Amino acid sequence: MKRPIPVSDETIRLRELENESIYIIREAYRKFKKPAMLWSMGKDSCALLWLVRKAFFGRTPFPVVHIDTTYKMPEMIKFRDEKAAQWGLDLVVVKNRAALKAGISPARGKLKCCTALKTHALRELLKKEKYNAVLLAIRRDEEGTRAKERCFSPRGGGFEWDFKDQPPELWDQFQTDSREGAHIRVHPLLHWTEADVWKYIRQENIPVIKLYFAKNGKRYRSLGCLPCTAPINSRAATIDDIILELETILTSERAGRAQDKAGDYAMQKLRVEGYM
Amino acid sequence: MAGNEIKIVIAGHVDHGKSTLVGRFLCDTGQMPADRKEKIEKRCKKDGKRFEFAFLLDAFEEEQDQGITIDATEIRWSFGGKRFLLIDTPGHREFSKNMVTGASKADAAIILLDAGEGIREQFRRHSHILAMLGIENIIVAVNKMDLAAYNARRFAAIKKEAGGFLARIGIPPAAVIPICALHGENLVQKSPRMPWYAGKPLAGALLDLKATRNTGLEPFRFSIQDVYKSGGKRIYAGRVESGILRKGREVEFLPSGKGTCVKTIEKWREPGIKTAKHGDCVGITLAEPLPVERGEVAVGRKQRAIVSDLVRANIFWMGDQPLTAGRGYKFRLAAQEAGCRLVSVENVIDADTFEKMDASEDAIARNNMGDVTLQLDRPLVYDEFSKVAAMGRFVLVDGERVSGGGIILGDTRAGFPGREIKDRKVFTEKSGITKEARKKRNGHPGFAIWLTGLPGSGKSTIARELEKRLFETGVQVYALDGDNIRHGINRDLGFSSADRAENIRRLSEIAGLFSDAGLAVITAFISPFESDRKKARETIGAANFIEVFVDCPLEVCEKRDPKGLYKKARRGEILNFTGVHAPYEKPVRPDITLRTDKIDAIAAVKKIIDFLERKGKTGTSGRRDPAYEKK
Repeated sequence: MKRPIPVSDETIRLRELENESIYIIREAYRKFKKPAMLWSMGKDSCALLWLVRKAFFGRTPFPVVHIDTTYKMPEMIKFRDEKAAQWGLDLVVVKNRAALKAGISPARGKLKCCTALKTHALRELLKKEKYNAVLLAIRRDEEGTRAKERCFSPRGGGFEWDFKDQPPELWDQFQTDSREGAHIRVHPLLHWTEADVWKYIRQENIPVIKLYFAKNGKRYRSLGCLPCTAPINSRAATIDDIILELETILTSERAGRAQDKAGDYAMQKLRVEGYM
Repeated sequence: MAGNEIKIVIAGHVDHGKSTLVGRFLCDTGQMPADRKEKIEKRCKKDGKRFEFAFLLDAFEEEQDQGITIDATEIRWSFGGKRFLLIDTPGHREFSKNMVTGASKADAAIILLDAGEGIREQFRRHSHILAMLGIENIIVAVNKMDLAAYNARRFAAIKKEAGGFLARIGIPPAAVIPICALHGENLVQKSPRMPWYAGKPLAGALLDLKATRNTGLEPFRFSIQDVYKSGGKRIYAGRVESGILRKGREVEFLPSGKGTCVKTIEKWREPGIKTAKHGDCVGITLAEPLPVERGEVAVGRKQRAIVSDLVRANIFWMGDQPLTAGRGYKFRLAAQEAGCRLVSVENVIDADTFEKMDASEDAIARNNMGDVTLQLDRPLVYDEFSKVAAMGRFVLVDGERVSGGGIILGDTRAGFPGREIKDRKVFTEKSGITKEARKKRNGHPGFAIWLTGLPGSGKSTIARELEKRLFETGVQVYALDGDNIRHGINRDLGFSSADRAENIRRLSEIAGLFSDAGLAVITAFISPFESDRKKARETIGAANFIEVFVDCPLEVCEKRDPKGLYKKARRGEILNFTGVHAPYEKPVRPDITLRTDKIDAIAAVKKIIDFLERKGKTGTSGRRDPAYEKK
């Protein structure tokens, strides 16, 4: 008789996380007429995209949206176009052209810039395309207000998040009804940690942008717009290095993101208006 | 659940120190990110306050300003080589839904108590919620021992009271520990200020907890979430809710009862899967491509689940409007969904004492719980919660919002003996006398006239007048009086929703027997629910059933108020009164509608008789009574 191969704690954990995420993704696809997913090409949304393909046996049955602020790093755009073609994605790229034309930029206020180029760009797209569910790869351990999120989180017609009165969510029974003009944010990776994502990327061999790996003593821990994202000091040049690094690091992942620090409760203010 | 992680919910009354405890745990074990700590320090300095450990969890501005927790937070923590998920929850009564949300995924719980304040309302409510959710690993932490002068006697008194209460509701604590979260005493290290305490510090006690594990020996349940067509194959995507899915296994789908074999287990980039276990989201292909849909549940051949349209459950209600009989809800269990209605509330847990008491009315208010019977609009597949947890818990949706959570105690067939009654037509055949023979003898066929309408709409008056009129024209007729029947055959029934439903069921059966016997029968019952009338129509037989809607506006009925019942209902002396508290569902397609605010009883009766004559129901006996015509 063959002995069963011992399964590591990490494998079991990743399988359970994967199962939970796939359940959420399938539920969103089944329950909503027009879902779409946001893809920033960062490690989290790359993991989410992988899970979507896994949920549907290789297909990606809804549009993949990139909100292009035009301040993104060139490596990200190259990666986007390459993988979209390779994986046969229905890629939708949106820009808030009016705001860009009006000269909105990080230099003229970081919160204003994020709200106009990301939140408002998404709002206009949803209005135009009538997407009623948006899948995105936020996680609880990123920052405090995300830690209080639901897997299916309703947003009002004005994009607002009523964080003081969120619907109950138990036993994978989610809020799947939304009023006309409103939509639901679906968060399949909510319960993953930063280290979980990297371990999953390692296990599944998911392609990620090279900017995450250290070069000349610096690496990006979180990817965003060029002017507002700073690399950290690091020698982690491989995924294994990164996972080891995360075990000892004592700053939070988004410490290099300028918009999070633009005043007290900056992230709450952004997110109440509909920021991711 | 993930890996060997133990999920612990922190529960307890407002301000008894839940968020502080979690923040302190992270700080004392060096797991609070430096930049977050800095942010909190800055904020507290601005207000001239000491460092608030709770702010690590309470991230909203409103939470920090008011010093409260609004919503649950989950945070990962590791200690002593074990991984934990700490779920901090709000203590306020109005945020109980958020506590339930957090607690619904926990394996274990720490319930906090303030040593000074002792047991308060939310301690009891949270404890009941944990008991309902089946969370049996409980640790009680008696907090703020510094304010109780680290007094051993005070601790012993609280330990006795809390331990007794928890034991009574079925969740005796594994440990009761005196702590001071603010100063980190008896959290990670033992406190020298409480030398009289011989047990472990809180973190040490957590290491002794075991995550609840499925053994794999539970009956097999695979819930279909969706069906995809992929590469010419029909893939049934679903989740193994319990037991083990095996390739080649013979399965039966419920509630449809279709059976076949599992041909393959499918997962992207993982060919040749032979088994899948509890929690696995996979796809299957079948030996025969059956038209199976979302919501159906595959079970093993000898592992039948309950298939029923009745559910007896323990429920926690979180809706803005109370859970009431008569209102329609959506019932969701695994991937199944059905319309549902509250039949009755067997008992509620008193909001002040949190003791079980008999329900005085069929309703459960927000943030309360009770044992209820639910009627689904179609049979669903489920298990008792104690046997298969994942198939024994459900939510109720009111409008668009999840408003209640419940666990299933069983089906209620036993409480509804009538549901087992066999098809009555067998009896008629046995009698050897045909319908035609009876019709010939009586000069008319048997039929039932079912009057329905609000109290005071004129049903009884019409019934009496119609009975008289038909009798005079030679029809064998009898009017069933609701009150008389309640004195006799239904004297064991009260006025709860379950009893009302049973009352109508028996009346339908009696009316059915009368019409089978070849008689004309008239009933005058409010019968406010379309579903009950539909059942009456089925029992009596659609061909013999004439539904008459006695239609009169509520204001007119209330003004008439022949028995003074509306007044009593308005004064609150009668509960669940149709038109005042309970809804009346208008018939969708009545055979006859009588606007009794516009026509009198004589004209109404004439309208019914005209209808009967047109349908040939009054037969040869239907000669006109000139005296009546003149009136």
